[in-house]
Amino acid sequence: MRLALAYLILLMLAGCGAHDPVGPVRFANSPPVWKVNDRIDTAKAPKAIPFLRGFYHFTSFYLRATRGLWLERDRRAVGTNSFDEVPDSTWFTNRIGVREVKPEEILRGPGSKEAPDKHLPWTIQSAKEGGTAIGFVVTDARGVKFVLKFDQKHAPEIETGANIVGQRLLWAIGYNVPEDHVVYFTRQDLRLAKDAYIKLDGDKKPIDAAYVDKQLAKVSVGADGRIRGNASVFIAGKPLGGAPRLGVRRDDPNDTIPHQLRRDQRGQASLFAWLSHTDIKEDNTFDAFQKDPRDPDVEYVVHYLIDFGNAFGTQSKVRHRHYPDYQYEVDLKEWGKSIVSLGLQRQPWEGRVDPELPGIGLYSAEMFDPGTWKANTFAQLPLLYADRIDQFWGAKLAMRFSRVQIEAAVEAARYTNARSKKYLVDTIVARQRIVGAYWFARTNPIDEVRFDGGQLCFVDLALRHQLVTTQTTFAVQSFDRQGRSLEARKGVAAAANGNTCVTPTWAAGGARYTIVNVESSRGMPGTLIHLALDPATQQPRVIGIYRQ
Amino acid sequence: MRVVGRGLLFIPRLPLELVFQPVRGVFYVQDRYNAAGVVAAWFTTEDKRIAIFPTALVETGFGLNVGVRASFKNMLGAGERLNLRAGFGGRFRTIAEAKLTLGEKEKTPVSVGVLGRLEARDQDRFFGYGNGDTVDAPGMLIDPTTDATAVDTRYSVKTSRIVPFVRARLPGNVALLASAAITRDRTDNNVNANQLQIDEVYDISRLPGFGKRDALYAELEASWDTRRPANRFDGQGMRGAGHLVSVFGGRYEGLADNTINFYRGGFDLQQFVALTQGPRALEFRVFAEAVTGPRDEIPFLELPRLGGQRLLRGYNIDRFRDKVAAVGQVGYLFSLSRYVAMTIFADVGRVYADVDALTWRDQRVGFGTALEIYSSTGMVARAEIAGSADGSVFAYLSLDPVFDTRARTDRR
Repeated sequence: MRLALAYLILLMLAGCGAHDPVGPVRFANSPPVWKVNDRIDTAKAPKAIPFLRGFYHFTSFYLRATRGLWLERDRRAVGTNSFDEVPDSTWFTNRIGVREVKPEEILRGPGSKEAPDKHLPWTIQSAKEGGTAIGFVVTDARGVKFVLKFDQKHAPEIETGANIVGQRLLWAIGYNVPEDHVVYFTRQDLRLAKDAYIKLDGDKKPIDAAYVDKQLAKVSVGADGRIRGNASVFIAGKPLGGAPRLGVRRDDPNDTIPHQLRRDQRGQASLFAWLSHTDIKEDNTFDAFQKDPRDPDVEYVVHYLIDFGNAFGTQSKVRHRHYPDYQYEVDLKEWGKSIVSLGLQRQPWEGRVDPELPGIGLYSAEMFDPGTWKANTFAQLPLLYADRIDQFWGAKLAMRFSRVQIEAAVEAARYTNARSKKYLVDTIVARQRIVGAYWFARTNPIDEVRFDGGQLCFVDLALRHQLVTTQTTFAVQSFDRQGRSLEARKGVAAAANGNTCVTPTWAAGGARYTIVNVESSRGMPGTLIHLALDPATQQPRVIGIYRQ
Repeated sequence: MRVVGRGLLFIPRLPLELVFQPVRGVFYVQDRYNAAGVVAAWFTTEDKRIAIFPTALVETGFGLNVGVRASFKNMLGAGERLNLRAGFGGRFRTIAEAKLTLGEKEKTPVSVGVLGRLEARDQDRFFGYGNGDTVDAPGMLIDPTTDATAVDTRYSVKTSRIVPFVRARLPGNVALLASAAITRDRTDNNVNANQLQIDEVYDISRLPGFGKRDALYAELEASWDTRRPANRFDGQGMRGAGHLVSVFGGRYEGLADNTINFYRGGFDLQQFVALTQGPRALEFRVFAEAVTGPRDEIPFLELPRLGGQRLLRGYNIDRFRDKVAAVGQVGYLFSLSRYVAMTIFADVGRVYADVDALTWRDQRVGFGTALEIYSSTGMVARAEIAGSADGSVFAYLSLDPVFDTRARTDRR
């Protein structure tokens, strides 16, 4: 008994830690880093990692079952700069909100190539490897190589449309994605390479026209005989498989931050919830060992997201799955509730309404709850480990899209039904606002922190986007570097558009390092803004932001 | 402190690691090296038309059955399929089977086939006739045709059977199945001396059909089957809507020394009712089967039986047998996901000495719950716990469909 008690006490002590009201984080008196150099030449290509589907998913359960027993503490994301933003890297390039992203740019998408259906005929080189969808590896008349995938016969436009809309939006946010196009062609536009093959059990076997016809008989064909497909241009470089969900690639010297701690990975959680991109797994990421576009002698790994064809509720129509967004494929917690209640417990996905529109999946703003959103599985651990700060970062990026920009992404999908297009835009916008409202209510949503005429100014994103209409007051209090209070808390009313400016009380001495705690009257933990004088100009500047 | 905590938590972590790591290893080997595919390739031709597999199956209470299965597909270019099977041990002491079908897998309107089977089972159960409670063996032999005392005894049977069949699928989910079986049965005492032998309890000289028996049985079954998932989100085979109306009738003709003739008839009615838009459904089923002819002449193997996994669950297989059997079932199904569902069920039924003896009294009640696993094409496994008002409890793990689709003439 005594031994058991001692054991328990030791365990409790192991979980305890100290708490500092202003926090332990201090920043260097320097501007934030907006670009990291993870493009250092790598002499030898890292080893390709095969995706082992069963092993991957089973290991997810193993990790989940044992994680608590390793006493792992929840860790904040890293890979951020002093402003709590993600600098440009081989993983992420800040686009929307940082520079102007014109709707035409979103419509065109990444890459510089024209859509392959402007360069017919096509030559089938092989059947697609991996995944369950029907597809071919094809070259167009220019010699551009791409993967050609289709919509299933019973679900026209759904997968190809979802893939393009997801791809365009995630690219505009900042992720690397392949160059994808919706294409239309006829059977007569297809040729077969002399050595065209399919790989079965590791062996190459020739394919013929009859094989192609048999495969095309399973896909959606328009009334005019045209076949709609998704052409995904081959990513340049040597394929290395997906980005490991845990740790780093040990043979990649540029890969230094464990992936489960990367903000740009964890922050995907709120973005994917917005887009209902539920088919998230290592296999839908892609690392390529590429030559630097400006110096072909320099090679390094670039990290991509691929395959968004299951986003926007597609799986409900294509694979008849009702639970994505609400329940994992194997969700022991929800199963347990059902069993205990003999099935009377209302399933979280019950009551979903199908818009019943051509090309549109079970994607709606009704019942959408970003806080309980679930992907197909919990296997992609960076998303599972995402905290509200990561989710806030993602929500902030989502909120940067205007309706016109979203319309451009939907237009790129070449939907044939105008009502479907409008519904999808309306729903993306509605879910965007739900995501913003949810995470902006859980992390103090002040942003664009800067000095303006000696005043410390910032904007409340929830007010700017009219996600809340309540009068908001900020309680502001300054501290010195040691965390000693410099003044009593003072209240500052926010303008209706969210813009707020305060005159900070500065600490004495040296660079006058000062920490200003800004708390919203809407009741969220405060944001600590670290200030100092620029040593070169003696002008005040923001040197760090720490969201609590 | 965290390091100390981790060290202490090694104790509860150890059993988890011992369970998880070997399974992870299996997954790794399978995914990395396609182990199952490599092994399967040893037993199949490259075009997959010929496959020969060793089999091993452990059945609780019956032991290990090992054997071999072979299939030959489209060897004559007519879409035909020949399946061969041989096994030893377990429920079957020996079994050898050959089945030739044409058109069955192709879902053509008409399929035909013929099956030949030799089997020796040595652990079949006999509880006498009627609806009696199970008791310990009395001191004197029981005449099962006049005394409903039920004792759990075993006997063995050797059967050889040839079954030709024709199945026709008509419009509107209607199907006709015509089949016939030429059968030779040899029943005897159980070979396992540790189990209670049938002749230690029952007067086998009074048991019709005990010993040698040759017969022809021909049957026509008509069914109207609209059973289906309640919505597109439920897995295939997860029935939540529709109905089955099945009626069957057949004629038994004794061959050689066997001069017994009689008719068999019955029906199977099932209705599935989706309760909500969500994954909940009720299942109602009424099944009845009867044979004509003198009760003391119809071979005991041919009498309708209740008990086991399909009819009057919660009771031993073949627990009740008599000229008439009737069962009502009600079930409640709720799905946990597209691939997993649970059912709670109750069965009520009994056997009767004749149609004249039908009564609501002395019904037997079984109940239980089952976890069902589905693939994208149908049910793949069912784990069931069933009990009865009489106190019996059974657990089953079934890797074949719960709803038997074989011709009645092909069943034991």
